[in-house]
Amino acid sequence: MMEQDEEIEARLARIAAATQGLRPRGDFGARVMRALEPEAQRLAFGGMLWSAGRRLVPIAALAAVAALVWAVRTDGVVEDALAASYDVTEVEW
Amino acid sequence: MSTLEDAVDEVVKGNTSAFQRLVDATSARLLRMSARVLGNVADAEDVLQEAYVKAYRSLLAGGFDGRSKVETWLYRIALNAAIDAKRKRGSKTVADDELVDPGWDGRASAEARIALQELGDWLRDLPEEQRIVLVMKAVEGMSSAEIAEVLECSEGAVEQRLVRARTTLRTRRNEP
Repeated sequence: MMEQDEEIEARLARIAAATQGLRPRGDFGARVMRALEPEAQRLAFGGMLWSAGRRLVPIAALAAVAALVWAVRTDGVVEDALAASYDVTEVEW
Repeated sequence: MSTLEDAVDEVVKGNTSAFQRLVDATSARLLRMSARVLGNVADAEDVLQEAYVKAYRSLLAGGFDGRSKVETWLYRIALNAAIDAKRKRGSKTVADDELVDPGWDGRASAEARIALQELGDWLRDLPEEQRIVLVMKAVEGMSSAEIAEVLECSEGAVEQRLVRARTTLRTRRNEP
């Protein structure tokens, strides 16, 4: 059994040595970087949208507060106007 | 001296060209592993390129948490890509002239080509988990602890798979 194990190990070691010199082709790194370009552009566009969106958040928050104030005030005016038309009887003398 | 962790930080901050440093530092080892899993250098290069693109996406999505070394993390991604490619290809054998692109620069010698084919044929019938562990240990020369970290399992599980793989190879050899 030991002999067989050694045989297996020796065969694996020979295969390891024979394939140790394998290297990617010279332009492999450049090809990977080219493959990344569309990814980088897509992600940069997404990032730009995100950062623009983040800059708009305070403006949107202010607009929301202003809209709320305006809505509350307008609501008061409308209620007054509606209230004025209730229980009013015109009496002719 | 700039480390791979520095390169990762730069990539995360938006410097895509820093990724080249990761490729330069790791591609030879990852290509060897990928070729030994797939039995073919040309496929190994394609699979490894896809693995790097996947790693880049993952980096930008915060997928590298720094718990393992950058090399280990990349090795895991490349190994999984090679295993997936091997599964998709199934038992389809590769014609001898397909093993290496004819335009190859000669670094993939005939000896390496024959050795890859021999490895593929010899280990073909082993269950995947045993085959991968045996290649990592006996061909890649990794320790059981390193293998366990890459495969995210215990060292005991690695040892168990190795014993089973060697037993299968011995048994098969003794069969008439």
